Amino acid sequence: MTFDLVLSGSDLLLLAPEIFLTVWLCVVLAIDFSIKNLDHENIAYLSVGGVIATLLNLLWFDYLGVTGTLFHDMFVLDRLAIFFKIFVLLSTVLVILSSIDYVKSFRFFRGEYYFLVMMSALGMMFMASAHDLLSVFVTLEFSTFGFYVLVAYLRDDVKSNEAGLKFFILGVFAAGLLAYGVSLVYGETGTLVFSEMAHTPGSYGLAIGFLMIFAALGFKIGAVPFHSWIPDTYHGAPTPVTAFLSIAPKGAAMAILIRMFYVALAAFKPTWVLLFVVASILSMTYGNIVAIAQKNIKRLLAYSGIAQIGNVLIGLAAGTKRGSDAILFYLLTYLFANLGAFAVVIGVGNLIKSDEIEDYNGLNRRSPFLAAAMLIFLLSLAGVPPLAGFIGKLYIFVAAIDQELYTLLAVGLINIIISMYYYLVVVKKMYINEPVDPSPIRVSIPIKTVIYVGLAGTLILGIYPRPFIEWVVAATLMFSNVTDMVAAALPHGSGG
Amino acid sequence: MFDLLVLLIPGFPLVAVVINGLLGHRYSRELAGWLACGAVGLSFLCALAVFGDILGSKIAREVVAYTWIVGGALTVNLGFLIDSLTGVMLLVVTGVGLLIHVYSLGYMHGEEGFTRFFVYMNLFMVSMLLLVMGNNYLVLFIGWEGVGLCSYLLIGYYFDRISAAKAATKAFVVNRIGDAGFLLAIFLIFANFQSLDYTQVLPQVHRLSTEMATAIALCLFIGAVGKSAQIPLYTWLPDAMEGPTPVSALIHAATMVTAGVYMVVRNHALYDMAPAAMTLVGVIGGVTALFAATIGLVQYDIKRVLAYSTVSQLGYMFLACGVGAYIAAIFHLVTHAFFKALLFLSAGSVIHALGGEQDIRKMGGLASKIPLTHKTFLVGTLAIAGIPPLAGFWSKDEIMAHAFVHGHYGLYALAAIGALLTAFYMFRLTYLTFYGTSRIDPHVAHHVHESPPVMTRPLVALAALSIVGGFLGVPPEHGWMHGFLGSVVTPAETSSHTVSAGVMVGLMAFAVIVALSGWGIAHYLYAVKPQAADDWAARAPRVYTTLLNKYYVDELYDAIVVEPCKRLGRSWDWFDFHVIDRVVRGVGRFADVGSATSTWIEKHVIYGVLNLIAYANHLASWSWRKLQSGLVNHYAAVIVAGAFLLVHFLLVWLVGGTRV
Repeated sequence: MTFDLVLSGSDLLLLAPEIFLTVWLCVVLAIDFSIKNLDHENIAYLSVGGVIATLLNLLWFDYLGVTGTLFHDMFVLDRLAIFFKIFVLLSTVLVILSSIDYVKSFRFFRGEYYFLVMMSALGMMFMASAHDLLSVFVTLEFSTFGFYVLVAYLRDDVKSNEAGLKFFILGVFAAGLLAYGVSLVYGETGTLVFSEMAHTPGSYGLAIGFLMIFAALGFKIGAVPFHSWIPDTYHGAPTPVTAFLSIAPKGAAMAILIRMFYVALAAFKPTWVLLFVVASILSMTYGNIVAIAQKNIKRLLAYSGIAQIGNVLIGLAAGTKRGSDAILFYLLTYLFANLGAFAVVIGVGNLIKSDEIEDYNGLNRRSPFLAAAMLIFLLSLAGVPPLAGFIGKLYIFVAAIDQELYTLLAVGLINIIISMYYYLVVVKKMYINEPVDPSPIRVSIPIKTVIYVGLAGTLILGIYPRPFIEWVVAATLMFSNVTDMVAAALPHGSGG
Repeated sequence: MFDLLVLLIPGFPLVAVVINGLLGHRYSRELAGWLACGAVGLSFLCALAVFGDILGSKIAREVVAYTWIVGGALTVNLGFLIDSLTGVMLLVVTGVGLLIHVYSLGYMHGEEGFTRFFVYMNLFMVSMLLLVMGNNYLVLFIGWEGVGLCSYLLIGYYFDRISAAKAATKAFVVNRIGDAGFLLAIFLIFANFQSLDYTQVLPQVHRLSTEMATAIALCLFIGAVGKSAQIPLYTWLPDAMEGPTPVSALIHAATMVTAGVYMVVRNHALYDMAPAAMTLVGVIGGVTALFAATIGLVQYDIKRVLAYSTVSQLGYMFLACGVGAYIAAIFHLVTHAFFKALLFLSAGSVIHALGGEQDIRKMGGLASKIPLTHKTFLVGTLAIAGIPPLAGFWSKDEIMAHAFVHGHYGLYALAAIGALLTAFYMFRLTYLTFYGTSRIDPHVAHHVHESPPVMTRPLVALAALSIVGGFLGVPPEHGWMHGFLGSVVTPAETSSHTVSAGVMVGLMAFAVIVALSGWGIAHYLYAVKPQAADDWAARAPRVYTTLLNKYYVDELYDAIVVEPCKRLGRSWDWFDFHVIDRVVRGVGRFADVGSATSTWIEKHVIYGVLNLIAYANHLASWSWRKLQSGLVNHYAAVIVAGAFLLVHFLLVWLVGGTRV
C-alpha cells in the first residue's frame, strides 16, 4: 500500500467537527495561559460552548446525511460514527458542567482540567470513526492519555494517585495486548482495514489476534474478566472524572466493537456469539452480586456499571441489526441515568465531602430534589417502567429473543431482581434513615442543569422514545445485511 | 367523544399528580386533597359514561393515544382496550378509589406529608387504570410496575419507622421476582406472535403447542403470584400493612393485589390451552386460601388479620380461575373489593378512634362507643363470612359450587375448610374488637370518638355495596354479571347446565351451615366462654406458636435466599480485594514457562518503573510503599489470565468442530 495523501477541501469537511474542536481547545488553553486572573468558571463555559458548537455541527451533518471515508478508509464518517460522536460530546458537556464546583477544590491547574477533558473527548470522537486497526490503536491511546492525567488530578490525595497509577499501568498493559493482537491480525490477513478483513479466510492466528483486541476493548468497557481496574480507579478518581470515565469511553469502545464484529468478523458470527454470551453473563452476575456489598456510592456505581455493560453485551451476543439498535439505545438511556446519578453524587459530595452510602442517610430531608432525582435515576438503571432504562432493557432482551438466546435472557431477568435490591438500599437510606446532620444541601445551578437534563432524558426516552429509536435504527442501517453475511458464510461450514 | 372520555379516565389523576407534585407546596393542604379527590371523581364520572356506552353496544373498542415504541416487528402503542371486563374493572377501581380518597381526607388529616400522600395515591390510580385499560402486554406491564412503585412509596410513607422501610423494600423486591416471570412471558409471547397486542395475540393462541402455551401461562402466573400475594410469594403483603390504612384498603385489598386475577382472566384463552397450568393455578389458589386463613386465626394485629384474609380471599379467586370459573373470579373480585375495602376502612376508623392502637388485645367493648363503625364492620364481617344475602355469600358460593360440580372435590374441600376458618377468624376479630369487656388503655379510653362524616360516609356507601353487591350475580351462573361478561370471558365449558337445581341448593345450604358454624365457634370462644380460647391454645402449644409465627416462612426465606445472596456479594467483594490477586499470581506462574524470568521482570522492571513514576510524582514514601504491595501487577495478571482463558476457551470451542 502506498501512502500518498491527497486531501481536497470537501474531504476535510468530513473532519470539520474534529478540526473545530482541536482549534477550540487550543484557544481555550491559550486563553487560560494568557489571561492571568481569569476565573476557571469562564474557561468551563467557554469549553461547554465549543463542545456544544461541535455537537450542533454533528447534528447538522446527521440531518444532511454527510458520509464518507478519509485516509485510505482509516477514518470513516457515517451515521454510526456521528451517533457515537454526539454521544461522547453530550456526555462531555454534562461532565464539564458537573465539574465546575468540583474544580474549585483544586489548588492548581484548574483551566487545564477542561482542556484535558476536551482532549479525551476529541480522542473518543476519532475512536468513533476508527475503521482500521491502526486507527483503533492510535485513537484508543489518544483518548486514554487525557484520562491518565485526569484520574490522578487530585495531587494531594493518595487514593487518586494510586488510582491514576493503577489505571496507567493497566492501561498500558491493555495497549500492549492490543498492539500484539493487531500485529497478529495483520500477519494473518495482510490488511488492517475492517471491510477488507471480512473477505479473508479464518485461522487460529486471526482468532487469537482478535481475542487480544477484544481483551483490550473489554478493558475499556469494563467487562468481566477485564474489570479489575474499575472499582479502584472509579473510587480514587475525582468524581466528575469517574462520571466521564463511566460513560464516554464505554460508548466509544462500543463503537469499535460493533464495527469490528459486525464488519470485519461478520462471517465468523457463530464463533464469537458464545464469547459475548459468556462475557455478558459474567459481567451481569458478577457486577450485580458484588454491588450488594458496597459501602461507597462510587464503587456501587462502578459495579453497577459493570453489570450494565453485561446488559449491553447481550446486544452484541445477538449479533443482529436489532442487536446493534438495542445497544445504541441502551447506551443513550444509560448516559442520562448514569450521568444524572453521578451529578447527584457530585452535588452531595461537594458539600459533605463524602461518598459513603451511609452519608446519604436522610437525603430526602436535606434536599428533596436531589433525593427524588436520585430515585428516578436509580429506578431507570434498575429498569422500572416507564423510565428510559426499561425501554433499553426491553430492546436488548427482544434482540436476544430473536436469536433464541433464552439462557442469556433468563440470567438477565434474574439479574434485574438482584440489582433492584442494592438500588433500593440506597433509596431506603435517602428516604427513611435519619440524617446525622439535617442541614439542607444547596445545589448549584450547573449541577442542577445536569440533573434536569438527566431527568428529561430519562423521562422522555421512557415515555416517548420513538424519535430516538428511529435515530438509532437509522444509525445502524448499514448492518441491515449482517444476517445475510453470516448466512452467506455458513454453507462452507454448515456444521458450525 | 368516546375516545376523549377514555383518555380522560387516567388523564384526570395524571393532571392532578403533575399539579400537586410540582405546585403542591404553594397552596393549602386541603386544596391539594380536594384536587386529588376531584380528579378521581371526574375520572369516575368518565368511567361511568364509558361503562354506559359498553352496556349499550357490548362491542370491544380500542383507543390509541400514541405510538410508543417502534422498530421492526416491535411496534407498541400506548393504547386502551375497552370491553366489558375492562368496564367492570374501571368502575371498581375508580368507584372504590374515589370513596377511599374521600375517606383519606379525614384519616390523613394532620399527618406530615399530606400532599405527598395524595400525589402517590393519584399516581397509583393512573397506574392501576393503565393496568386494566391497556390493549397490550406492555401497557399492562407499565401499570403493573407503576402500581408496585406506588405501593412501595406508600408502604414506606411513615419513613420514620424502620419496619415500614423494610416492608416497602421487601414488597418491591418480592414483586420483582414475579415481574421477572411476567417479563419472560411477554418475551415468549413476542417471540411466538411478533406482537404484544391482545387483539393480535389472544385470538391466535390456539396456534401454540400445549407446551408453549403452558410455559407462557406459567410465566404469567409467576407474575400474578407475586402481585397477588399467593404462595410462595405472599410474605410481603402482611408486612405491607405498615402503610397508612387507606393505602391498605385501596392498594393491598381492593385493587392492586387483584391485578393478578385480572391478568389471568384477561388471558383465559391461553389458560384454556394449558390444562396443567390451570391445575397449578387452582391448587396454588386453594392451598393459599386455606394456608393464609390458618395464620389469620391467631394474629393480634387488626390489620394483619385482614391482610391474611386478603391473601386467603385472593386464593379463592385463583381457585376459581383454576377451575375455569372466570366470571366467578371477577365476581368475587368485585364483591371482595367492596367488603374488604369496607373492613379496612372500618378498621382504620377503629384505629383512628383509639389514637393509633392496632392490637386487638387492647380493644373490646367498642360497639357502644363507635356505633356506626361497629355496624359497618359487622356488615363487612357478615359479607366476607358468607352469610346470605350479603355480597360475599353469592360470589364465594359460586366459586365453590363450580369447583364441586366440575369434579374438583379436593379444591372444594380446601375452599370449604377455608370458609369455615374465614367465618371464625372474622367473627373472632369482631368479638375481640367490639364486644366483651373493654381492655382499652385507660389513657386512651376517654378519647375514643366516632370518626368525622368525611370518613363515615364512605363507610356507609361501601356497607350498602357489600349488602347489595351480590345481586349482580344472582341467580348463580345466570346473573347480570354473567350476561355482561359473557361476551369477553366465554366459559370454557357449559356442562354446569346439566346440574340439577337440587344440588345447587344443597351446596348453598352447606355453605351457609359452614359459615354459621364458624360464627358459632367464634361466638362460643369469645362471647360465651372467653377463657376457652386460651385453653385451646395451651392444649396445642406447638401448633399455636407455629401459626403465630406464620409457619416461620419469613425466617426460612431469609435463611435460604436473602442471607446467602448478601454473603455471596460480600465474599466476592473480598475476593476481588484479596484472593484473586494471589490465585492469579499462582496460576500465572504455573502457566508461564519462564516463571522465574517473569517474576524477575515483575520485581525489577515493573516495580522499577512504578517507583520511578512514584518518585516523579513526588509521592510520599509511605504511599508508594503501599503501591509496592503489588496490587497493580496482579490486576494485570487478572487481565492476562482472562485473555489466556479466552484463548483456551476458543481453542476448545474450535476443536469442538466450529469453523473459523
